[in-house]
Amino acid sequence: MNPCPCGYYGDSLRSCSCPDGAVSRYQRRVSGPLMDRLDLFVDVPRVEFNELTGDTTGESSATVRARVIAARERQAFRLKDSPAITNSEMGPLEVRKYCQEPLVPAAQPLLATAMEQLGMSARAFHRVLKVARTIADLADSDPIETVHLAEAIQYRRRGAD
Amino acid sequence: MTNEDALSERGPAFVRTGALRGIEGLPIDVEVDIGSGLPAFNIVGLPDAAVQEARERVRAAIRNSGFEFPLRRITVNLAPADVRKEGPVYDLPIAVAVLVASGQVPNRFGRDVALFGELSLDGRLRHGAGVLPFVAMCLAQGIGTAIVPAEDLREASVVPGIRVLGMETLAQAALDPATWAVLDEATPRIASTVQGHDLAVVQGQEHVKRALEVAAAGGHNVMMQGPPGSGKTLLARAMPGLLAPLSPAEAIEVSRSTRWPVCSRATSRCSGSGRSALRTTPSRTPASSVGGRTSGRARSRWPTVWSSFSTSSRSSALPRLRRSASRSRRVRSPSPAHEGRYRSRRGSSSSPQ
Repeated sequence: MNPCPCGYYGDSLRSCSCPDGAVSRYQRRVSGPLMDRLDLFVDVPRVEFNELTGDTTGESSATVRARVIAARERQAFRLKDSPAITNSEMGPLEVRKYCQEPLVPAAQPLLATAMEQLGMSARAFHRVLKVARTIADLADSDPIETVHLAEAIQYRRRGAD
Repeated sequence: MTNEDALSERGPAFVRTGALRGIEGLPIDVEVDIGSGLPAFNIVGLPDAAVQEARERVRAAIRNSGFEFPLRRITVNLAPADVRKEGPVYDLPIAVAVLVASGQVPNRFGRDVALFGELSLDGRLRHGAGVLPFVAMCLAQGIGTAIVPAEDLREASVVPGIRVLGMETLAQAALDPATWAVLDEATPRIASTVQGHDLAVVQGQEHVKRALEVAAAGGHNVMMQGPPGSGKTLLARAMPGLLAPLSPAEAIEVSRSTRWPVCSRATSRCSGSGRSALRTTPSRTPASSVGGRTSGRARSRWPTVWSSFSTSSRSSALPRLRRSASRSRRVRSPSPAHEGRYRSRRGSSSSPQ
């Protein structure tokens, strides 16, 4: 989605031309309960000229897909006795067993701080842990390290801008 | 021709088939009784117009397959009678039941065989939509053999653990079981065509690509926010290419919820070619009109399944949707965004056309 009706709210070059209140009205159209259910919230900023004309090409879909498939296999093995197929489908018991228990102790304070500062709900808490589990799976790691958790937390939508 | 006594002694004939209720297959018994009286051919058991028209196709197909259409009072009952039957796929079971009831074909269709297929006037079997839910239903009901049009064999054989036979004609389906083996089991071929853009075409935005990778790996949802032209749509289009291929079980469920595109025909709404089963996650791009579609008619033929598991659905302008539309994603509790599944009783009686 765009950040506002004109689309340029928060853009680095163009200024937003929306009237007062339009931005928050626009953002409010997506309800809080729906937002709370979003796992990964990412900003897609404008692409700079240098980046656009540079000859660096990123990874191809096939490369990324190979990692995705490997991560899915890890999940399939872990969840073979459960109805869930992917990490996102894990229930509370599985979250406890596969996300909270393998979380390294060093990551606990980070989780507590994030919970408080982002005003995360219980659902958001579970969702962050599941995303962290996926990130650890992509890194082929059984324990969930602090970096995995940190990446998952930064995908949470920060409160009202 | 057999005399009347012999006919009434034989009693009603019965063969099995299936109906679609929502996305689930439901076993249907086709009963045919041939009695004395003025020649008539009636179908009861909540048939829709296409099922009623089966009478004409069945009559012609039986005659043109070298059998005789009995000039008696024929009553076809599709049981259970309270489930709406839609579409032409009852042609074959009705025709076979008529042949069994009139003694032209020995009754060996007991409870262990189910038939499915539309007939053309010359007795050939045509493609029938919804073959996969049908075969999945047969498996669930413990039916050993499913008979489907040869054209649909490949799609049907995606379901493991059941003998699926493809038939070219009514005569073939109604003849000696010995001929059944000839057209036996084709190897299922599950297609995997990657659609959409390659991720490499998008310059920059590496952090977004990473988020998409995480989403694809764990089945999480993603929201991208940014100014116009920054690549959100392009990135979203690359998403199908990142997803792992569907397992056979997933492919079956997805194709059931999206109805028939498992084996896409050229005209199908799902990309991919040939009559092979779907291995690629279907993706939808709900436009602003989605409000109208999700709140569609009670018997909509294409209930929009936004967020069925394993499907990816993307919307470029969530706030622009009517509020009711975006809320309809989570109109039922627990919500699809939360549970990853869309539950709907809508379209509960519709079936493929």
